[in-house]
Amino acid sequence: MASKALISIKNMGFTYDNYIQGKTRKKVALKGINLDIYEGEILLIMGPSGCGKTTLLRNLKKEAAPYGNLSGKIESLVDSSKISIVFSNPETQLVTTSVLSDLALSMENLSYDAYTQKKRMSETVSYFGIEDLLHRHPDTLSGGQKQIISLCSQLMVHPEILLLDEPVSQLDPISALEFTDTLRRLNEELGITIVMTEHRPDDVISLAHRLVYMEQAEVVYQDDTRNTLKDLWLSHEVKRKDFLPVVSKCSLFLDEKRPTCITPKELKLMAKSLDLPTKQIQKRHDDFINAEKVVKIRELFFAYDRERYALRNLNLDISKNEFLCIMGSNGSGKSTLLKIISGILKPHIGKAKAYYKQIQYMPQDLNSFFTEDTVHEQMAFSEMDESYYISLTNQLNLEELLHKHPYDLSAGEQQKAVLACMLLKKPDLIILDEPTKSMDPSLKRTISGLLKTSEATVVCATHDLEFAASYATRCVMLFNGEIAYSMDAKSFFKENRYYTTSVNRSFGQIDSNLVLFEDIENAYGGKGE
Amino acid sequence: MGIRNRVISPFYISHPVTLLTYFTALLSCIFIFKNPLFTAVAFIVCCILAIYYAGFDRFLKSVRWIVPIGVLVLILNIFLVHRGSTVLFYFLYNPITKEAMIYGIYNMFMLMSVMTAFISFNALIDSTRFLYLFSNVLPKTSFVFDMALRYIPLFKKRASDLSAVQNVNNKTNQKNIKDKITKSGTYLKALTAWTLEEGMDTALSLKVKNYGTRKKVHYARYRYTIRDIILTVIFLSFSVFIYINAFLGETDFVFYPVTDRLEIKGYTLIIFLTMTVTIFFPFILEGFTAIKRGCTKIWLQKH
Repeated sequence: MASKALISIKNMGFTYDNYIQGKTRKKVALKGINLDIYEGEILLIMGPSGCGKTTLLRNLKKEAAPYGNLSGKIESLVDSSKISIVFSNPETQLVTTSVLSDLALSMENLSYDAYTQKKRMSETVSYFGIEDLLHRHPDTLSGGQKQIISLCSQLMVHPEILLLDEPVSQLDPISALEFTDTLRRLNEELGITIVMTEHRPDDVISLAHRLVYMEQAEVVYQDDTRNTLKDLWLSHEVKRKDFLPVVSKCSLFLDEKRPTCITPKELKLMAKSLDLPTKQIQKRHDDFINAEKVVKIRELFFAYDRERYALRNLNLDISKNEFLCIMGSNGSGKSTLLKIISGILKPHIGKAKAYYKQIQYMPQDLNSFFTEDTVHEQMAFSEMDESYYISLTNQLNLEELLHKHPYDLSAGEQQKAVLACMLLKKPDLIILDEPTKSMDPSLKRTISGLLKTSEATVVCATHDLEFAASYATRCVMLFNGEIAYSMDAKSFFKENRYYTTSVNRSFGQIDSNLVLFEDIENAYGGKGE
Repeated sequence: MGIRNRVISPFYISHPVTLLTYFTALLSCIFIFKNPLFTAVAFIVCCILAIYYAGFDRFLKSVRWIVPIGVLVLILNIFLVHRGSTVLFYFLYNPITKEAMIYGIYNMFMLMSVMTAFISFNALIDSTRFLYLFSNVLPKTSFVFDMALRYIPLFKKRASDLSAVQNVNNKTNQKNIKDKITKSGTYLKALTAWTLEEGMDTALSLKVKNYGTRKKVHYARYRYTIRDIILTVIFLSFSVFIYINAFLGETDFVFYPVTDRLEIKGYTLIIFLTMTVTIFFPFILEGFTAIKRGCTKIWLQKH
């Protein structure tokens, strides 16, 4: 981009003084970083968890800088008060009892006069169309709405640079879309420079002008988004390839020479223009109709308040060893159904019976799972299978995390730890509420493999369409409190136009059987090699 | 009912200071007038206020514990106080007097009025208005108080979530008390760690919002209108009026040894009427607005 650099980072390094098990250890978080941030761009920093992207981002604003030793130089043309930062956890950023007071907070802290406060408040609220939320209690908002409120509260002080630390990682895809739309408007209509980190780039890739890929405290690639994606593909390392959004992966697989696609539309046009020969793909078939039933739900009604039933007239049978994914939009009753199956909530009308020896339930908010001080203490119990413990820690790469406090882990690491704890109990019924929120693709593969070998029945509520399509044996769609339809995973997405994976969106008109990247690999395989 | 009435209420939209002066006047009445008839009227007003502004459900919920407390005070006064000259009967060789009974009734009404007044107080002066009133005097304390108001329900919800998840995942059949206490201790530890950990994040997010760098001001949410000034003057002058009367001894009522007669005449009647009009003032406003709204409706239907 031709505009001038607002912030230029020269040969920057950063080390933390970590205090682990009574000893101080230096941990290098960043080394040799050279990066320019230009006016009006959206810069996306991605990389595996723990690669230092958050440290880099937080160092850009003086007030948010972590404690540690900084070396090198950060030259900034923008005053620190004109830089705003939004963090990933929507829960901790709203502190008062009404949205209005939260929005006003930054202005109150800077002692703006009454006229300016009213003016800024009215223009911001009208611009984002959040009048309806103004007098609500923060607890009644969805995660996406909370994130938008945190963002707006920062925008009241008219920042020039906006820093976002994994802003959509804790949101479901629909809320994430709502949030990225807001970001796009901010950048396009107001020209605000945005720097954000993300380790799961599918939701935000179409926004980014420039992409920085970091690995082990260093910047590996930095360039225009499409070029960086191509670099990642050409590096031929599975770990790096996993970070590519599915759409880009498909387009690079089909033709490396063309510019990388970042939206399903581009991929669709590209696929049509290539006119590739298709191979028939083998269909796997799992038959669970006659298997033993583990969960039986008959005519279930449940309501949280007097207003409406959250679940109504729901019938569901779950067979032994099945991997069932429950899909549906926000507030369709997915979590409620899981809580009823696990016995936390009791049905008001109807029957819900689950037959199991050992059940394990993974809540949406993982903090309510941990009670001990280290991951090891959380996992270990007296009658556990030690060889299984060792193999689990190996497969999930938990060795380094074992002696850390669960709250010190990143969101993805927490999910790994929780799954390890659950599997170690050898359950025959596993219930998962949004298990893939902040996982990268390689981890998803490992975990679904572990779930399969454990031979337990798995019931999972998820928004992650790719995950459901790859690993589930059956999907059900929950709509308006009842089960709208139930099918095996492949056919579930086949006929869908909107609620389907991005591969199916692009290739649906060519062959509706193509749902996943693997299908593309099978169908068009051999051409690239 | 309560919320719907509040949204379009001409009294609810008043400035918090106006509402505060109204409640000052109301509570002064309750505490200063010793005549049981005055207190009874105040009690009726408090009940109507609570039902109208907080809703019947919430009123009933609170009445369930307010009435027993009032009755308890009455009974204690009857059986424990033996002053007064008109003996009604003897209970376990102790005289039960008419005067003690009347004083008990007065006391019961006074306590119940104060408690019901606070139901409507909570509905009319909710936490944001309350904070607004005190934020000019104590800006930081009121902010911390607001944060506490948000975190207490959150803490409760997390506690129930945590115990639900743990009960599913670590099912034990042991029911002895020692295990239960250990378990609760672990939960409490986890919950505290969780809250403190999040507190660090919250502190950071406050820091980046420049908290504490300058003197905190309060968002100008309410505007003082001419209507507010008129109402404030009415309520304040009434308060001053009854304080002067209290100073002159016009509001006193003798209970022991012989109770004054419960009749209202002369100057007391003037005080009584002033009080009734003032503490019924919110409903006078509501009435006028309701009539105007009704007229508009009829006019709209005709045209």
